[in-house]
Amino acid sequence: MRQHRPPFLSPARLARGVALAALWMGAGAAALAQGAAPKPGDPQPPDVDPLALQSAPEAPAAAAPGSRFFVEGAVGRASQRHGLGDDTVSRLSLDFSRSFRLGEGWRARLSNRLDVTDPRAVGAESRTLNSLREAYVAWTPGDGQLLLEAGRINLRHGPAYGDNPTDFFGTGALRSPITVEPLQRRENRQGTVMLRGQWALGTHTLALAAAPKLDDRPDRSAFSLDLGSTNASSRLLGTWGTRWSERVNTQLLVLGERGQSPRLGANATALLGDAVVAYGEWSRGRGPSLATRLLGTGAEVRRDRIAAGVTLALPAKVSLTLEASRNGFGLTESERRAVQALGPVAFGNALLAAQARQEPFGRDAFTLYLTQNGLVWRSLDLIALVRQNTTDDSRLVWVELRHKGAGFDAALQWQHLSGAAFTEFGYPPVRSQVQGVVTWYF
Amino acid sequence: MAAAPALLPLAVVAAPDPQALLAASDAIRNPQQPFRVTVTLSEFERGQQVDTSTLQSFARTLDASGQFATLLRFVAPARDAGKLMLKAGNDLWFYDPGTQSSVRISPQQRLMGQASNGDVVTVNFARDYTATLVAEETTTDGERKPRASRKLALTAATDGAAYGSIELWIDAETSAPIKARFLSESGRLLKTAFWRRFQRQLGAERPTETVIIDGLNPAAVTLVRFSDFAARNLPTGWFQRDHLPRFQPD
Repeated sequence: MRQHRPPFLSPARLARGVALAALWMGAGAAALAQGAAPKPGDPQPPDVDPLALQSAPEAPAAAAPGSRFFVEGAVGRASQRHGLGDDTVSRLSLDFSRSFRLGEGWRARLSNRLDVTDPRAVGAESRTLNSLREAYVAWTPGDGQLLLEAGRINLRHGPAYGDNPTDFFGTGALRSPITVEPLQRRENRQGTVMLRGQWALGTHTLALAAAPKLDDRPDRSAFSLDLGSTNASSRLLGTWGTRWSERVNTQLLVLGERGQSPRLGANATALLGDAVVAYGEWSRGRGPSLATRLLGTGAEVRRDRIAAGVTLALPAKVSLTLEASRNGFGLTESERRAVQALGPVAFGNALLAAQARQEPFGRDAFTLYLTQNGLVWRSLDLIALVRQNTTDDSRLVWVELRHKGAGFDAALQWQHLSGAAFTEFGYPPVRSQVQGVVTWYF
Repeated sequence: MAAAPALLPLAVVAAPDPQALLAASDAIRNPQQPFRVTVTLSEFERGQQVDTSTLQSFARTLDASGQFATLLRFVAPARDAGKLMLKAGNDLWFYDPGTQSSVRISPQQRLMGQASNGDVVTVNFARDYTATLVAEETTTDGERKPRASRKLALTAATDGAAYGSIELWIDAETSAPIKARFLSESGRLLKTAFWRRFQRQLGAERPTETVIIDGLNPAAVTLVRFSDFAARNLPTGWFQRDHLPRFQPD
């Protein structure tokens, strides 16, 4: 009989979590203080007159502003489930972005990423996967109030971290899921081919984006434009952004899609104090839920998706984000058991379908996202992510330590997925993984 | 014989208006028209240079109230190239072109990064602080020279004030900024700044270097150098969250 585990947010777990966080922050602050203060017996540094300091001559900028190029290599070890044993994982990535000025008021942007992974990404036809993220031309008349763009544009909306209900163009956009970290995942998104206009009207911004249907199905071949993932249907997105005050911003969105009911969305951010930012997203639409797609009933339902959270600025350069989300189209516990009864292949396809749509798998989830700059020493940063599917009680933990050197980053990443066999984080083959990542910037 | 001139009454020396002095000091640090300036930050720990970053700062006032807005674009190091930070009072946003994410940040989060040192210069104090003249005294400037100065006590007057209070010394004749101590709401010293290396830029003698000493760790010093001052056409629409992904001034 399966032992009942307490819900993630039980008072006992919350208290332990707060105590651990307090101990850890105190240790971090103490380490900082120790690092800053001279220790007994240390030779005293000569008094340094700050007004006598002179900076070294500037090196010329290596690249034009608006351009970025880096090469990234990763190697690690994965511990797998289902009797697959341990495996070595590796990756090489080339990432390029550049904005070009074509003339007065005209500019272009090109952004591309090439990943070579071993083993190959799930669903990919080869170990090589190229993602043309952006390729578009833009025009702005002199006063800067109007902007017109045409081409492949990575249009993303929503302030949340773990789930973005208002990210209407996110479906199918993630071609190369090399990481589970939500912000790093956004770096690998493919844009959608569209024609877009944006008007700035005082404290309001209006935008209209028209994305045509260009292909029917995704193409996971190495150098495909994969238009079937991003432009599988004709869509029209209207956005109205408002700056109500220095502390409150909102966006309203309406998405029309051929053959579908319109979808409504709204998001907001608010500054609640010197150290607290709150945010929320909501969308409503009608369509088949994940369960009805998988179980083949075809029934359409009208459901909401919601995500809300707060980001706290804490001592020792710590930022902590706590977020709760509900996906009305995600699997309830009973629906999960029904999909489980279809067998492991169907369950795996369910996970892939949710990942392709960039929607949460379960009905409810909780996300904790923490960053700390200057952990122990100034060039060492910490990122920690905990993602809990509170419907099936499975969990993902991801931690990164990143050292920022001169022209390169070196990072150590660890992730662990836990849960019962047929759960969001209990089913994927990789149970845990450690990898080192080095990034060279040019 | 000409009549003896009447004794003229002594000229009444009006007490200087502290708020006007503060505004005059702001005008020396910041050109009154929209402008761009390159900001180079060199960080030192115990006398050793440990890091360098370069930003481009685009600044202007947004409306008749004089609210000052700054858009910082990171140029170097390469890992940060293209990132943006927008500040318009408490409307603070960080944009990463890699993730296409515009993230609202709190004033405390902003103070965690070097960008907060980058705009110690390009921020206008007169709108966000109330000034009081507390002393006329001789003080030492950033080039270790004695200067006749006026000491102003600035207290936060709006939500947009990043610091609880500021002690500001300005030149007694020109109102040029000499040095300042930035304090938190609890009175804790956060940083000390010295303005120096005045050069003629955009129609006035302006400081082109600021020495910022961390109040919590005096061994941590940042040299902020300003170069390439240029008047620019900066539409107000650029200083909004929705425009950040499309910002391209070149």
